Parts: sequence; C-alpha cells; structure tokens
Amino acid sequence: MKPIAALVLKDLAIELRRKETVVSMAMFGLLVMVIFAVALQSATLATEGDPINNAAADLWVALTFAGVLGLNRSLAIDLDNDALQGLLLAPVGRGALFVGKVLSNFLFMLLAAALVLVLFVVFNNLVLDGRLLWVVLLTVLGTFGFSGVGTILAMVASNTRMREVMLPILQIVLTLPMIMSAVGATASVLGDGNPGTLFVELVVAFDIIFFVVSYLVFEYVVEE
Amino acid sequence: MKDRLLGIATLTAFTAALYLAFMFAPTEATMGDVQRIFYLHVPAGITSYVAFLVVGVGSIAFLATRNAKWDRLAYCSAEVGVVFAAANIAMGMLWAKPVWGIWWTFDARLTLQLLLALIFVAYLMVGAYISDASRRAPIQAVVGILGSADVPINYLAIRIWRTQHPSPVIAGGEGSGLDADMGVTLAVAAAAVGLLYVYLLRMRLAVERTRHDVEHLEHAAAES
Amino acid sequence: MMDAPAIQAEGVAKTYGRFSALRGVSMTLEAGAFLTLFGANGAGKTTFLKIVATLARPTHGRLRVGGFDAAERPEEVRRRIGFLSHNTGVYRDLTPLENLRFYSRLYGRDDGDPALEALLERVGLEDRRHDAVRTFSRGLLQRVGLARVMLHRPALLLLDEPHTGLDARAVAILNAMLDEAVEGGRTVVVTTHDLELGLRAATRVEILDRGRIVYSGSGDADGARAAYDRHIRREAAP
Repeated sequence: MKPIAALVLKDLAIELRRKETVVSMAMFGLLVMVIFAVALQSATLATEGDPINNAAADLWVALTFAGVLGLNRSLAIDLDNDALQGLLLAPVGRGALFVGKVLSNFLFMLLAAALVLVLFVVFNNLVLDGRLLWVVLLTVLGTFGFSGVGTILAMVASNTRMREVMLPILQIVLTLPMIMSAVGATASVLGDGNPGTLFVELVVAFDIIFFVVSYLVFEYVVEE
Repeated sequence: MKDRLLGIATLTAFTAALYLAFMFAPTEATMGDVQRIFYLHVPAGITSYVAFLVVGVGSIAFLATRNAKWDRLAYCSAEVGVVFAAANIAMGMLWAKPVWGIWWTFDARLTLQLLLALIFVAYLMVGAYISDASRRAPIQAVVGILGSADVPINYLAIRIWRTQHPSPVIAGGEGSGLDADMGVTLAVAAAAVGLLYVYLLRMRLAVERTRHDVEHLEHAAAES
Repeated sequence: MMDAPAIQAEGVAKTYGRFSALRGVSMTLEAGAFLTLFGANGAGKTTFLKIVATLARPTHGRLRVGGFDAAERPEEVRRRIGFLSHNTGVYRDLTPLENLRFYSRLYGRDDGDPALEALLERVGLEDRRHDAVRTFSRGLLQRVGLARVMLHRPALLLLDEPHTGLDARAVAILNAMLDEAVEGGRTVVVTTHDLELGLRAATRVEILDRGRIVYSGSGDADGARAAYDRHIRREAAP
C-alpha cells in the first residue's frame, strides 16, 4: 500500500502547487456543457419544436471539436523541430505567415467538414435540394471564421503549459457567438428554407472582424 | 492617503446604498422584497462590462507602448471584472429562483454574462499558464484584445435570441420605467459598486507594483 | 550595401522577465569580417544573435544590420542574414530537396532543382536528398540547416554554436563553407565556447560575460587566448 499512497500523494502535492490539471479540466467540462446547451438553445429558438434543431446543433458541435483537433495538429507541423524559426527568419511579413497558415487550416477543415456533411445528410435523411446549398455555404463561412481566430489561438495555446486543453477552451469561448448564429441559420434553413439574414450577417461579421484583428496582432504572438 | 479616502467613500456609498435598498425604496408590486437584489445585481453587471472594456484598452495600450503598467492594468481589471461578473450571475440566480422558479436558464442575457465571464477567465488562465515571463505580457494582451472584440459580437448574437430576462427597465420600451425612488436607489448603488471596482483595482495594482519592485530589488541584490 | 557596416549595435539590452540576458552591447562589425563571439552558457551570445536576426526585440538600444534599422525594416534585415542555431528550421516530414524548394519560394527566389541539388552536394547530402529528414542524425540535420541558411546567399551569416554535435566530416564541411563565404566578401559571426574552433579563422574576437562585452580584439591569437582564460576558463574552474 505504501508505494501506491506515495504515488497518489506525489500527484496531489504537485497539483496543489500548480493547480492546472483540475482547473483546466473543470473549465473544459463547463465549456462542453455550455456549447451543447447554447447550440441546442440556438437551434430551438430559430425554429420552434422542429426535430431538425438537434441535427443543426449536432453538426456545429461536431465541426467545433473536429476543428480544434485539427488546429492543434496543424500547428504541430511548424513546431516540430522548431521549423517555425525558419519561417520567422524569412523576409516575409508576419501577416503573410498568418494568412498562409489560416488558408491551410481552412483547407484542412473544409476537407474534414465535407466528410462530416455527407454523414450529416445520411444520418438525418435529408433531401438533396437548395437548402443543402445553404448548409454548405454556412459550413464554408463558419469554417473560415473558425480557422482565422483558431490559427492565432493555437499559437497562443502553444506558448502555455497546458497546450492541449487551452486551445479548445479559448477556441470555444471566443467562437461561441459565431457558432450560435451558424446553428441558428442552419436550423432555420433546414426548417423553412430561409437561413435568416441576421444569422448569416453575424457569421460574416465574425469572420471579417476576427480575421482582421488576428492578422493585426499575430506578430505579438510570435515575437520574443 | 488617496486609497484611504477612496475606501471610506466606498464604504459610505455602500452603507447608503444598502439603507436605500432595504429601507427607502418601495417594495416591488409583483416580486416583493426579493426584487431588492436588483440594486446590486444590475450595477455589478454593468461594472463588469466596464472592467472588461478596461482590459481591452489596457491590452491595446500595452502593445502600442510596451509600458508594463498597461499590462498590469489589463489583467488586474480582468480579475476584478470576473469577480463582479460572478457576483452578478450569483445574485441573478438568487433572484431567479423565487421569481422564475429556476436557478438558471440558457436565456439570452444570462448566457451573455456567462460567456463574458468565461472569456476573461480564459484570459486569466492564459496568463497563469505561460512560464516565460517575457512572453506572457504580449500574448495575454493579444487574448485580451480578441476577448474584448468578442464582447459586442456576443451581444449581437444574443440579441437575435428572444429573451426571458426583463429588458432594461431604464429608458426601455412600453411598460418599462422605474419608480423615482427606485431610480435614486439604483443610482446610489451603482456609484457604490463603481467605487468598489476602482478601489479593488487600485489595491490589486498596488500589490502588483510592490511585487514588481521586490523582484527588481531581489534581482539587483543578486547581481551585486 | 557593401559599404555599410554589417552590424551596428548601440546599447542593445534584453531582459527576459527578471533576467537580464544583455546589458547594453555596442559594437560595429565591418562587412567582410569573421567575428567569433565567445562566452560561457548564459553569457548572452544566443540572445545577441537572435536580436540581430530580428527574432527577438531588444528591450533597449538600436541596431542596424547592413545599414537597415532592425526595428523599422526587419524584412530587409532578414533578406540579408542567414541564421543557424541548434534549431535547424527544417521540416522533418519533408526531404532535404523539398525543404530547400519550400524555402527558396518563401524567399521569393526561383532556384531550379539543379541549383538546389548543387547546394545539397556542397553539404554532402547528394545521396540522401530524397530521404525524409526525420531519419537523419544530428550531424546530417545540421547540414540540411546549413544548406537552408546558404540558400539565399546572405551577406551576413549568424551561426550559433554551429560545431556542437557535429561529426568530423560535418565540421570540415562547415569550416570550408565558412572560409568560402568570407572569401566571397560575406560577413560571418560564430558563437562558440571552444577556443581553438573559434580562433581558427576569426579576424575579430569579442567575449561576452553576463550580458556585457568584456573583451574586444582582432583575431590575434595571444591576446584572445589570454582574455579567454581570464573570462571563460575562470568560470569553468571549480
């Protein structure tokens, strides 16, 4: 028994000192609850009592988690062997490095989203019609906004001791308003064929604002 | 000295606010005495917005000037802001239980306030989890800017929802409007909470300045 | 820009939180020089090179590289420098040739494969140009890094401890390339704590100690040796 108790006490002592594991797990758990609740609520409010609501919320929660995993892996390409330093030494502006990385993240996410969308159609027995075009467009718009802010947040998270959990935390809190609107638009368009101008406008506004702001501040995340 | 005066002023304002809230303001017609929580609940919410605005301004000013005082202002304001936002949410729950019969609902205003608090909790986590002291400040400032940019978007996203929460009673639409005595009470309470924010912020900044000075002295002592 | 000094530093200082890595370094390095920067671990050599390479921003002081202000025209500075540290900056999932193709494009150059293959030949990697870098030893990896640094023919080469972890063959290749660079009129800055490797080709010697320059001289071996003994051996002594 003694060695086992020693092992547990060692972990407790370290965690009491750093207070990282439990705090970040709790925060992550809280955010998962919030994103599910908010996504379902957005879908329900957009079209009352339609079973398609859950599907719309489901889609965007799936895209969010898939996206977070992708962002972490994609940045790992540049962090491996500190290749990032080679990029920072090149005579290109930090802004260009940011845009390049956003575009490759966007591309990766779109490829994954295409697969998710196919399954979304099958699982929900959707008819291939004009409404699906809207869903595809919303996915493209949402994915772009997600990649823009996600690229800089992945870099932020990589500078922390809790990289794997800080990225989802930051990404979920900051993209939630966009996710809410995307869910609202998806649910509306699947319900009555009209995505709701306000929802779509908000997704576009999010894309633009966060792309521009992230572009402007990116240099501060990579400097020493 | 200044801090002392500020402390006395805060205490006085709070005493007055509590007196007005419990003894002076009339009992609300439908909700009864529980409505009196409103006099602290609303100012705490508004003050948390102000505190988060200060985070954004301080973060931008820090990146522009590289003066550490802006960095300290930003994260100290975030800490105090999170406390106020949490107090606002907790008081809201206490009020909601007897009036709505529930502690919590993912209603527009409640969700908005929760998201704002979570954004700045995430901001504080980033600061706490970066080990490299020289990189913490710029990276945290970037998160501060992204977080502040999210505040209006969150607000708009949530405006699109319908809400169970009462719309602002002051200068609201039809059926709103505050009794004159209630207005006076709210104004005094808002002043008290505002003073408390300034007082706590100044105390927190003084601690950080002292810490900074001590580190400086230790460093100088270690070198000589 | 051959006439402008390769490096002009005025009171360059850098603090990392509480730690002062550099406390006011001033130097002018004429173009075409071979500078060896000696210093114990933590003396500030790497920090200085990172600042010259625009990777780190100085807390105080001004710096011009090849006549360009590092704070105002960082891209012009980066165009003119090649910086190699323990981080080789190469992608391990790509082959050496693919790495060079990528960097060539990033630098806005259009080197065809023959030119890139010739460069790989110079660092002795012609046989392995199609193998993923992931499979390379430390010495081979460093050679890919060297090829990357030479790719855009920088006027100023900054090499941080380039000899560390290299096998004899790689050291010989490295030294030959450095000599060639100096003959071609380029400026070289090398940091090391190995006295003999450092003095081999130096025309200029500076010694950093706890963030300050404590010795500055020509490549004359005796003066440099004495100063090295004074400032660095002393640290190493028990």
